Amino acid sequence: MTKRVMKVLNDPSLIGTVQDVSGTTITVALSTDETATGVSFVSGECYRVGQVGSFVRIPIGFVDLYGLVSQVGAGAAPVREGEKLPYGNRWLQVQLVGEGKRGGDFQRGISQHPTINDKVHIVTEKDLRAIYGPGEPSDFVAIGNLASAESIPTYVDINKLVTRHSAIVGTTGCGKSTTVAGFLNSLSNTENYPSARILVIDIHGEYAKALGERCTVFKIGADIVKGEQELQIPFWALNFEEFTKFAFGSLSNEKSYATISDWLITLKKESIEHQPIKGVSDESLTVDLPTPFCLQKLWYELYKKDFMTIRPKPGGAPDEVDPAYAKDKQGNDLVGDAMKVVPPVYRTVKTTGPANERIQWGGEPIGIRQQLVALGTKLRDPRYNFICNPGDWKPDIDGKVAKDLDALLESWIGNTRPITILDLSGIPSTILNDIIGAVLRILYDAVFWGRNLPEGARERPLLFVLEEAHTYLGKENTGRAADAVRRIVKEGRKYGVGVMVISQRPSEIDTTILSQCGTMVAMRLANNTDRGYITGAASDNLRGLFEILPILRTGEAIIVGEAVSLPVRTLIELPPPERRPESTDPKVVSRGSVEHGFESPGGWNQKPENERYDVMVYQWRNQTAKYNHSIFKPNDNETEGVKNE
Amino acid sequence: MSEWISTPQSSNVAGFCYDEGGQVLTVEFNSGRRYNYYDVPQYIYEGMKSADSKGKYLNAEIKGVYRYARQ
Repeated sequence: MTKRVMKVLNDPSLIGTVQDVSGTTITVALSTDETATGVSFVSGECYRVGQVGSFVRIPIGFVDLYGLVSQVGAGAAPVREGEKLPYGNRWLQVQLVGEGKRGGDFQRGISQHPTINDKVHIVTEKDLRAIYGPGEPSDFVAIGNLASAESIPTYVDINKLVTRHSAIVGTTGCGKSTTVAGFLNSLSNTENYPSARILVIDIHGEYAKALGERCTVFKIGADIVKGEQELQIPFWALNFEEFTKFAFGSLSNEKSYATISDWLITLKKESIEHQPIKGVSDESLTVDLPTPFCLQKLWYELYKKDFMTIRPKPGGAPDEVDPAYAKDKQGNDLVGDAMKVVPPVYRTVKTTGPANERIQWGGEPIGIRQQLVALGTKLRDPRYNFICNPGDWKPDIDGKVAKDLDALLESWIGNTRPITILDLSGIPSTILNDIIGAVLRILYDAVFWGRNLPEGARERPLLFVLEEAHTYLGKENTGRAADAVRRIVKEGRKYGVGVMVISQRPSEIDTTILSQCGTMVAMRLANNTDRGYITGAASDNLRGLFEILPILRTGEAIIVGEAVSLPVRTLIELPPPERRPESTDPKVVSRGSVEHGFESPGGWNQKPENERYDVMVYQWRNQTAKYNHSIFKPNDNETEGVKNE
Repeated sequence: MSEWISTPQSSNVAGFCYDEGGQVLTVEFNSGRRYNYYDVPQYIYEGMKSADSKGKYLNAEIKGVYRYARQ
């Protein structure tokens, strides 16, 4: 009796002794005296003994070994243990993860093993603080609290989080977007990080509201009142491959590529003649060089080449020919207009009749008629204005532009606000992948060549946040986006360019990309395939921790990898309600009653509206989600009629 | 544009305001979403101001009568 009291007084945190050591797995027999109740009190705090995922401490001399409880109970018992025990099978299986000098910092990896009968202790809050505490305070940013001890903040190493890339995965509705918003809020804290530089690829337009004053939003159909800016991606910033893919799709023969590139060079030369660019001369000009040229003119010239018919020049020598334009009612030649994207109209081929009236095909056609017609359609389509008619970056017929690429880069990654959101929700889905690829490639190229400058990413690192990544970084996806991201995850680290991949279907993401993500933030994941993927991709030996992925709470995450000293189960600090992304699901049924009103104006349980589908069609045709009431204002009689119903 | 009227006592409506010129009633719900109701006459706005239950008034007098769109 005396002995037991002494023991309790000496160390209430003691829970058992080491009984088996095998590699980094050790088996601990819980001592029946102290832990019969399953709870233990240390310094007035209550701790539950033997929670899976909790830590234990094994002091050996001046060093403390730390381990993570991975299994509890009968299954954790040594194989040949058959003896009946009064309190059941009181065993723990523990994975050793690291060690710390008494009172010193915690380190991953262990230098020695425990042996039989070494004492095993509960890890108290004080120890946890040492384990999870920030090593070098300026390197770490708090992003939430430990799930097991909510008074202890979770720190991530911001250096490694950004440059070694990261992935945030979780099923829909597990609080992923909100978590990302929380992360971005912590990373863009202007007090600590006045020069943070984050670019969010937001294909659903969710984040603008969540980030408030910290972000600049670029979108198609920007609302100037809200401070948004029009998204412009000049076509001439694309390289030749990206450009031809966008403008012509895939071309069947090599010759057409050659003709197009010849014309590109010609038009680019014309442009620098009219508006010289520093450092670009005729000799250094290549098709890939991002210099302006007139896309409309390119289209017009190629169109002429492919569609032109000719007739003998009236009164000229037999080998002199004129283009055979058709004529309008007034008798004018239908020569078309490049800038207005009106194609020239030619007369059809005629091989009979007098020689001077015969009409033949002119020149050497390239054989891309279909593509040229499609390009003409794109040039006229308002949905493609962001790329074909990019405002100040639109070259005129001579290839002169009001603004060069520096203005574009400055608006995207300059220093006015830490976060830039490229809201791509208005981009046609057929070209979305290529556009994302092009944007990432353009920015990466720019900061790569500027790597020794203060504007470059080595001095001011750049983080790309790729929301809904599975839609454009898919495994079977051979698109530009996956190419660009693969390149960045492989070599971006050296130049200060990091990627944060966010997805609900990690199993659909390209393996190269996911395996290069040094830090994994795994939220609730129910799907078995997805879970297997995450467990496999994580570079840690603590697979057991991932067993709890399906039962994580909303907003709870397991963070493993380089940015944390240990795998950590954490509750991400949520931004205040008004700063959460707009991804909450529409309400099918609105809460409330006729007596007290409803929480929202729509829902299946409310009386129907006077619906007008002409408005819907109008917005569809104009590719806008913003309702313009002045167009659809009913006249007064109609309003009365509606009211009287 | 009239000044913004907060309605913390309402269980659904967070606040509203009215633009006399455009006859637009802007309502913010407690979810934080704002909706514009168009061609709302002044008297309806006055009624909304004096109504005991904003949610009930909105549902009875405005919902289904005036076109709305999310802001």
